[in-house]
Amino acid sequence: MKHNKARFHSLSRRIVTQFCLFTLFLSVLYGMFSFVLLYTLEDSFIERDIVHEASYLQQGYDQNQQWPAIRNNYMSLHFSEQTLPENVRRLLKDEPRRKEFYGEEGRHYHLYPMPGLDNTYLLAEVSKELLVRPIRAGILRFLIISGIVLTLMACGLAWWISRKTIKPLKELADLVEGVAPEQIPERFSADFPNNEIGILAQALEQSMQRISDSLNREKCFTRDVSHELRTPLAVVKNACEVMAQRSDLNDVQTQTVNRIAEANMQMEQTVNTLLVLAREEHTAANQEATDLMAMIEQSVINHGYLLDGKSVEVEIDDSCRVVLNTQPGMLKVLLDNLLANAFQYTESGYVNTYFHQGVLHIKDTGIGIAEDISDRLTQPAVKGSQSTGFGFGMAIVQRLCDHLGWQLRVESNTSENGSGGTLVSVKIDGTQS
Amino acid sequence: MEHQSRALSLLLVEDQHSIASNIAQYMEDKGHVMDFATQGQQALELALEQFYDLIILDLNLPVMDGLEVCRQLRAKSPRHIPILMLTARDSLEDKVAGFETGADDYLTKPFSLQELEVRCLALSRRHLLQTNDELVLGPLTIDRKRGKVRRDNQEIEVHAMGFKILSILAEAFPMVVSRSELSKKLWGDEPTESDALRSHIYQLRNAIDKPFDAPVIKTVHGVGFTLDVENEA
Repeated sequence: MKHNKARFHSLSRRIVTQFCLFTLFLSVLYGMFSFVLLYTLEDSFIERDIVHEASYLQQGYDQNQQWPAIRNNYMSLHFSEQTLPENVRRLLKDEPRRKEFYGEEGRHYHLYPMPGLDNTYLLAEVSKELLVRPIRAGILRFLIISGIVLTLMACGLAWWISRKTIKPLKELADLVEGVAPEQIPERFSADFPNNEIGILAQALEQSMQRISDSLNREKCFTRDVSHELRTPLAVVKNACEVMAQRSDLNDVQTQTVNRIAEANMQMEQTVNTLLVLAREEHTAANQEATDLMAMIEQSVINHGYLLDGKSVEVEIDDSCRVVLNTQPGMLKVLLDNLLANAFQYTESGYVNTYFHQGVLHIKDTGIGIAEDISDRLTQPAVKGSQSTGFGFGMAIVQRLCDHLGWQLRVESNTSENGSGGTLVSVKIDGTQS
Repeated sequence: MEHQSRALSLLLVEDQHSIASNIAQYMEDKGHVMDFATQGQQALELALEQFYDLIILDLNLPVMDGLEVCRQLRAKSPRHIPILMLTARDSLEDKVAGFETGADDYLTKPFSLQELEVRCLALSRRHLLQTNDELVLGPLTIDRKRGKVRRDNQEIEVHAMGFKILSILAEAFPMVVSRSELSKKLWGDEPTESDALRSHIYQLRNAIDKPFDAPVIKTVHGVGFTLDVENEA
C-alpha cells in the first residue's frame, strides 16, 4: 500500500486510544464533580448549623442583652479578631470575606460574622463534624477503581467496534490491493456489510469494472489496430520487394522504391513498438531470463537485408553474451529499432555492438544525425515531441525506454572530418545472472 | 537420389487481393507455380484434389477461418501437407492456437517476401528430411545414416561435431542459423565458451571448403551461418 508523506497510523488503535482517553477524562471529571458535590453538601450542613446557632445566640442577646451559652461545644464566640486562632486571623487580614479556614493538626474552622455587629464572630471548629474527610480515601479509591474499570470496558468496546468497522475495510483493501484488475472477483461488494464500507466496496467494484472494461477495450483495440495496420504495411512492403526485384528499373525508380521501403520499414517498427507497449503495459512483472546475444543475432539476421550491397562489418562483442532479466518482447523491439536504424543509415564501415556495465552500446559509422539537431542529442532523454525531428523513429524508442525505465543516450559524431557516426547507448535495467 | 527442385507448387489462400497479388508476382518471378483460393471451403477442396508442396494460409478468412481450414485439412488429407500460416496477430496465444491446429510455420504480417520464400523452401524440404537418409544440397550430399559427407562426389572427413553442424545448417537451409541457435542445438542450455563454436566451424571449413574453389559455409554478418549452395535442379 502506498502511504502519503504522513506516517502510517492504525485507525483501530486510534479509535481505542481516543475512546479510552475520553472515558478516562469523563471518569476524572465526574469524580471531581462528586467531590465538589460532597464538599458542598457537607458545607451547607455545617453552615446551616452555624446559622441556626447564630440566630439562637442573636435571639438570646436581643432578649437579655447578654450572650447565652453556646449549645454546641465546638463553637465559640469571639468579640475581637485578636482572640481568633493565629491562622484564621492572618488569613482574615488578607481575605476579609473568607469563611473557611484550615488550622493546624487537621483543624477546620468556619467563621460566621454575626450580622449587624462589628467584630463579633461565631467560630466553629468542625473537624469532628466533617463527614467527607474520614471516608475521602475510600471514595477516592472507589472512584479510581471504577474509573479504571470503565476505561477498560471502553477499551474493550472500542476494540470491538473498531474491529467490526476496520476488518471489512482491511479485507476490502487486501482484495483490491496488488491484484490485476482482471483477476478481481466480479461481484465482491455483496460480501461486504450494507453500510459505508459497502458503499465503498460498491464504488471500488464499479471502478474496477470500468478499469477492466477499458483494459478489455484496449486489448481489442490493439488487436484491431494490429490487423488494420499490419495488412496495408504488408502490402506496401511486398509491393516494394516486387518492384525492387525487377531488373528494368532506372536509378530514379530504384531510389523511389527504396524511399517507400524505408518509410514503410519505419512505420512497421513504430507499429510493432506501439503494439508491444500496448500489450505489455499492464504486465510489468512479465520479466524472464533473456539471452541478449541470441536476440541480437536474430535481429541482425532479420535486418541483414538492409546491408545488402554495402560493405558494412557487423561486430558483436563477446560482452553481449549475458542473460538479462527483462521483458523479451520489449528488448526485441528495442534491438530491432536500433539495429535497423544503424544498418539503414550506415553506407560503409562498421556497426559495433557491445555491452558494458549494464549498458548496451550500438556504434555505427553512418551518416550521423543532421547538425541542426545534433546539439539536442547530447542531452539524455530528449522528450517526445521534440525528438520527432530525428527522423530516426527515435521518439518511439525513447517512449519504450521511458516506459521500462531504461536510459537512452544518442551521441552523434559529425565533427570527425564530417565522417559521421552515431553511438546509441541504452542502460538496461535487468539484473544479470 | 532425386534432386530436389527449388520450384514449388504452392496454394495461396488469401482473401486480400493486394497481398495475394504481391506474393504471386514475387513467387512466380522466382519460378514457383501458384494456385489461389480466397475462401476456406474453396481452399479445402483444392488442397484435397490437387498436389501442392505447400499451402500458404491466411488466418483471417471470411466464412471459414484459417484455423478451421487447417483443422479440417489435417483431418481429411491422407498426407501431411506443409502449412505456413500468415497472420496479422502475433500474440503468444495466437501462435499456440496456430501450431495446435497443425500449422507447420507461422509468419506475421508485415513479412518480407524473401523471408516467405525462404520459409516455404525450408518447409517443403522438411518432410523429405524426415524420410530420407541422404540430404542433397547442390554439391553437398549428407548421409545421415552413416555420418558421411560428400562434396562433388568426393568423400570428406569431418569430425562428429562438424557433421552435426553441417546437418543443422542443411536442415534449416535456406534459412540462416544464428550462432546462439547453433550452440543451443549442439550443447543445449549448457554455457559454452564462445571459442568452442568458432574452432569447430574453423575445423569444418578446413575440411569442406579449403580444398575447393568456393566455400559452402557462409557467415552472415558475423552472427549466423547458412549454406551457400546453388540448389538448382
